[in-house]
Amino acid sequence: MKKLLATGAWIAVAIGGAIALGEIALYRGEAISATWFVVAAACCYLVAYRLYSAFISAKILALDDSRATPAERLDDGRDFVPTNKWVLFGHHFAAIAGPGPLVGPTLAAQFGYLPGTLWLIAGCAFAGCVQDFIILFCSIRRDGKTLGEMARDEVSKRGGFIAQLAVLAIMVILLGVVALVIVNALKSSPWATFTLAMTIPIALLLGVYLRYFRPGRVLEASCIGVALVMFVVVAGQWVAESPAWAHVFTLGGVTLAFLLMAYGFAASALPVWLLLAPRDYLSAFIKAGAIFSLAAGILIVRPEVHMPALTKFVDGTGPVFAGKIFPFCFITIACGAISGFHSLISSGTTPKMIQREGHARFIGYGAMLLESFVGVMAMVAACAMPPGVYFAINSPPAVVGATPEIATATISSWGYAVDAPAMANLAQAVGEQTLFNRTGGAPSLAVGMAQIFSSTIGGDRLMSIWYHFAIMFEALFILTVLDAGTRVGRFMVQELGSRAWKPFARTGWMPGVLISSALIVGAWGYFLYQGVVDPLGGINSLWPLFGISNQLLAAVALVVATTILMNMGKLRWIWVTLAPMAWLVIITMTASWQKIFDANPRIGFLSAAHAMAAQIAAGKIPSAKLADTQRLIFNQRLDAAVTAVLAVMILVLLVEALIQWTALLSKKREPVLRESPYVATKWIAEAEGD
Amino acid sequence: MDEQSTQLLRRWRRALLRIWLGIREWCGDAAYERYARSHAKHSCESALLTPEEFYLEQLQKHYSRLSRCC
Repeated sequence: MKKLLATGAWIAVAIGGAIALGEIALYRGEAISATWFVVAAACCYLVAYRLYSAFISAKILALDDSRATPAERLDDGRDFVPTNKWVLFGHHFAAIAGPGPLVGPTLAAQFGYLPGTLWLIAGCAFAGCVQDFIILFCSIRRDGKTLGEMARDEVSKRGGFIAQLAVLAIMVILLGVVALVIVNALKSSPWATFTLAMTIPIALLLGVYLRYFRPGRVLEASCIGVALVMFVVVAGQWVAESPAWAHVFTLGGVTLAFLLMAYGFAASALPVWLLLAPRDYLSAFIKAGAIFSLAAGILIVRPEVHMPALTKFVDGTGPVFAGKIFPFCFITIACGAISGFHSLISSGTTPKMIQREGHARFIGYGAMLLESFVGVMAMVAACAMPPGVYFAINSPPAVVGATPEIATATISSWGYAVDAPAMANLAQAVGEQTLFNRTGGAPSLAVGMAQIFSSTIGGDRLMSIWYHFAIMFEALFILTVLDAGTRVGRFMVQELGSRAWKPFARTGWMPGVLISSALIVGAWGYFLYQGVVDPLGGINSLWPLFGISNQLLAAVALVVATTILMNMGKLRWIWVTLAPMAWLVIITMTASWQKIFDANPRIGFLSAAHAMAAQIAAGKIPSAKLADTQRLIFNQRLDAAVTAVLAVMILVLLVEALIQWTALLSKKREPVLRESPYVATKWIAEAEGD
Repeated sequence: MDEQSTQLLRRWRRALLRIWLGIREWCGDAAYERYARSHAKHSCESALLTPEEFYLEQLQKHYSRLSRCC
């Protein structure tokens, strides 16, 4: 009877999911309730977890709870620490959930709500969760080895090197593009700039408190920090309204870019306890609070989604970024559907802390489902505002026009009504000077979040506070990625440098620290700078580049997973990793080709360079702008070269893997399982003995 | 208070305690206690670190590898 009831409940969940998906896919009215999105996502995730992850656990990986995990065998209380599965789920989720699932869906909303939502739901169930789960399992069975080590052992030495290079490439591009998102959010906004600037002294204060007064008391320090951050969010309004102070914090894009580079350098070179760690604690608490509040807000307010299911921009003429729905929707939304970066977390700390093999399903597959849900919420927040407002915020002046009147006329001519006075009122309501041309996704997401939050608490009176809370949350979130990423990048540069000169690897040697920090900051800073000066807003060229590099890393992870499954003798189920891998290769290669060679200058890097060169040759560029245009031409060619290198890396890795797979399939090489030997867990025996 | 209410209260207290302990574990407050327990259990040859030394060592390790995603 109990089994019958359970089966009935699961059938109801599946039918509920199908109805909700059908509703969002087929509805063509004016507006659709966000409840359908929440129901569709939740039901699909539940069914995917119940059926697909169970199938992978049982049939393919054969998770074995009687086998001692590295956390049990190598328990040292430091690196290898057996951790409660709910706590580890929290750790893992906090590590994988960055700004990507918020920004990506917001940008992809230009295609309409449908493509992005479907990709978020299906992509995570069949690709992202599978990658995270299987890589976590593989790492657990190999004493917590990293993706790079597994790629070297399982595919080839070159495969390991490609994984290392991919990590460095993704780091540099990621840091450049997320820094650009912050710059675009803070540009000409004294309130937001002041709030974010004040988080630096707050973090320093917490750092000193945690180092000298109460070592390791993170909870109490974070409570103090969060209270102070909330205070500066409110205090930002006083600064913005003060004629004396407002101009101090009203900064342009280039100034903000250099300030961010200086911050990244300081965070990388200063002791980690002083700035980096306390900011990370602050960010973790605010992130958890904001995501929970957004979910609660959507459930309570149940906003109407005004964006159409599909916009006219599926044809590639979108103002936010150029490119057709295929492949650019799948490149733009990486985190939330599948993100190669997750494989580094799944083969990093998590496998060293897992108590039981069986927990890998809940942590690896489950945490990614939750991240995808964050992506769906971001999509809802972006699509809940009128489409005309969304396009006015996210479109660069070079596409829609520089003045409010021209921009609103252009956007209205596309069929998305918006007028300049309404935009001015909205800007005033959120405490900004203007909301036009605020590309990057963060401001439009903040407007969407503020509308949802203010409908729950405070009404229009608190709209500006909620908006700046959302901006602060996004920026703090991104700064955490920026400073932690710069530091890790510094170590990578030091390690690479040590191949030429050994002492360079010494992490305590100050000249080495300073040089490597400057190199890594210079690398991502260059991408940031080119994004800031790009007339198309930077996101148009940099976000696809980031998407391609991230999906490249996912392809590396799935190649490693496929090879391991082959060595495990699971040839029958190889499609589980092979199909998402093939999909990723198709989308990354197509996107790379189009970004390099497309004849449309808004899409193809080379055609953009040619177009600008032709303008110079025709004498259409004034001499004052000649140097800038030449730099833009160089940037376009550099981006083309970086994209080409990424594409070649995918091809080389594929060839390496195909050689391995052919040798295995033709039995020229015996499968070798490089798992650590089976050791029975003592915990079950102890529990039975009790 | 009757027996049923006392049991219910106890159950609530236990649940709240578990949530509190989970939060302490998640944010890292309990890391040193865990390390000290593990050190005592495995009777390690190395000296037990002080809370401050342990905190700094953990930070160095945590921020020397990729710990945050995009």
